Amino acid sequence: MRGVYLVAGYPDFALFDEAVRVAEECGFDFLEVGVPFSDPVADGPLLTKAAHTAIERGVNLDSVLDWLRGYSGGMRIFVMTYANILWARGLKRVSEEFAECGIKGVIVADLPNEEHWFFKEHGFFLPLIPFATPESSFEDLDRLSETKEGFIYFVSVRGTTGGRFSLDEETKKKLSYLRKRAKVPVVVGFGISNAEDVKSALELADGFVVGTKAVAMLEKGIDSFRNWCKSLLSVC
Amino acid sequence: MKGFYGRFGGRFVPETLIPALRQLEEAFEAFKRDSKAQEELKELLERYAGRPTPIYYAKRMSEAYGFELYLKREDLLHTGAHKINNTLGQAILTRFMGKSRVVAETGAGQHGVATATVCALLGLECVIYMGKVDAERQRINVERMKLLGAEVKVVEEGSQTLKDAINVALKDWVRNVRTTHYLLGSVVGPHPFPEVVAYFQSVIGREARSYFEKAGFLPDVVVACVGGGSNAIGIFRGFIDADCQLIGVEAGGLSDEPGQHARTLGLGRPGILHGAFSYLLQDEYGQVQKVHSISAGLDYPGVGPEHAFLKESNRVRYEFCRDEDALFAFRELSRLEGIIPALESAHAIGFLLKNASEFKGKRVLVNLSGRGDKDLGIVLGGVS
Ligand SMILES: Cc1ncc(COP(=O)(O)O)c(C=O)c1O
Repeated sequence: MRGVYLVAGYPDFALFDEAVRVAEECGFDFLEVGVPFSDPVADGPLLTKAAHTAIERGVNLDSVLDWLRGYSGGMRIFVMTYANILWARGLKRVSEEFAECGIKGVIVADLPNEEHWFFKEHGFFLPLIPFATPESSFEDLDRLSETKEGFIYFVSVRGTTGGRFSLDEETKKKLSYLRKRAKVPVVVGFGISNAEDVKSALELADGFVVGTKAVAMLEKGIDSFRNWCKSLLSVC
Repeated sequence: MKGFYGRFGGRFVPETLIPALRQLEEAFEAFKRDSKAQEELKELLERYAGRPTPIYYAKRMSEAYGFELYLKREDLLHTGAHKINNTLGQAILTRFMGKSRVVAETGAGQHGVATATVCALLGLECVIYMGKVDAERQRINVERMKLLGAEVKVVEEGSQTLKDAINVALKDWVRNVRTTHYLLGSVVGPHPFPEVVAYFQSVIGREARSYFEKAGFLPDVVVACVGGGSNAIGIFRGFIDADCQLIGVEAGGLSDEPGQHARTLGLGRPGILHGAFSYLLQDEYGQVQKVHSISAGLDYPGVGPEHAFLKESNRVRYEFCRDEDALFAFRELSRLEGIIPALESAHAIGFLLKNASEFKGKRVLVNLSGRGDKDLGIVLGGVS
């Protein structure tokens, strides 16, 4: 699984839309659509700023849903956001709206695995993508390996988005432990920025997601973004 | 449900922090079973921080306004506010967990100073995050933290106030979770923080309750200002089972227009911020709203989950006090009693003065959560 994260409607909807098309052409097979939140505690400076800019420019769940309804490409789409954005919409309503758009699952940065029940109890019915981290215990990993839908998101570094991709031995051990047992793909994210990172990610996991670097390249323009996508995926 | 007050609370944080929260929970339980550690905290509270604090009957204010006003003098504590009750307790928990580095957020700077103080006392590395707006309006406290050996990091993202300081402190914690304890300063955040902070602050209510029991009567009304809600929970817990009216006072700012106040419980809706499901000032899409208060410690769009529960169960009534009424109370208490209150605490007094007729003849206990030296710049210089 080769995934790319982009902030919806950023820098604007036209460029975002074009970037999605370019990403698919270059070989990405799934897209995480970020719905910006004012207080993104899992994000580093670059994505925090992008979220704030997007919000100032009027991006909201209505405009993101409009874009999702119009999407006709072939990538699998997941939504990535924060709990309050979904809560404020109504958890049942928003899962109905996402389901109509063909969304395969939702990644909620501040909804840890043990609070999934809260979303479900309030009517949320799409797959919630669970997280593994370098801090997960082997017990946590055992529990995670029972996941039946979507994928498992392995947050590969202790830190916010935009850090560097480097896994210590203990983390590698956890990753391979989980991968051996899991019934769904294990995808690593956080800190991947170049072809070399992708290569080492794919040795350890079933897939990867790039975020910060993708948004940074798109800020430079669609040509930079295209060239970067090509070189990044040249190793797959 | 564990970690919830009624339907409010929880642990809405990135997965990476979950083990650290479990570890804190274990340290907290171990502390509660450890009589030696409790004795150590008691010693520190008495000999270092200056507990117990007195209850003072404010005679001239009472005569001027027609009710009996009692003040719980948390302003007399070392570092000048109730915040040190919690920082001393959590510093001991930090040691229990074998961690050597502490990060904290601060609004008014009182929690930052109280954190820097205990870190100096126990030899812990200390980093304080403070919004740029707050660092400017509470400059004296920035200097105090630096003197105490803390590194003060000024936060320039978002609204550059308490909310953003918490965001950045949480991010630091995610990066350094193995070595670092996040010493949260109010009854907010993910479980078990609201309970840990309430536990350490409830000494306020216990002392106050025992004072009144000895005096042979109880107050009719107990009033406290509410930012995140720690001084309020601290005093309310002493009276929650008694026949006393409890009133929490939020910052009314300039008006009820969005962005001009911090009336989270008064005008917000349930939502999720900083790890808890509680009340939140937010727009229709769930973006956190801008807030305003003249007081940096109350300038916050969220509130502790226990307050959300106490509101919905109608045990506590939540009111507000505007900037100008807090400023009036600030001057009035100084003039009539020789006590300069923190602008935060002045909100509790200001609400009473504004509504004096409602409390005519009643015995009113106010938690005077801090002293006001830090606020002279705002009050005299018009900084806000
Ligand atoms: C003196 C004083 N009172 C009250 C507060 C508000 O916090 P809380 O609502 O947690 O008591 C602060 C916060 O900075 C403070 O310094």
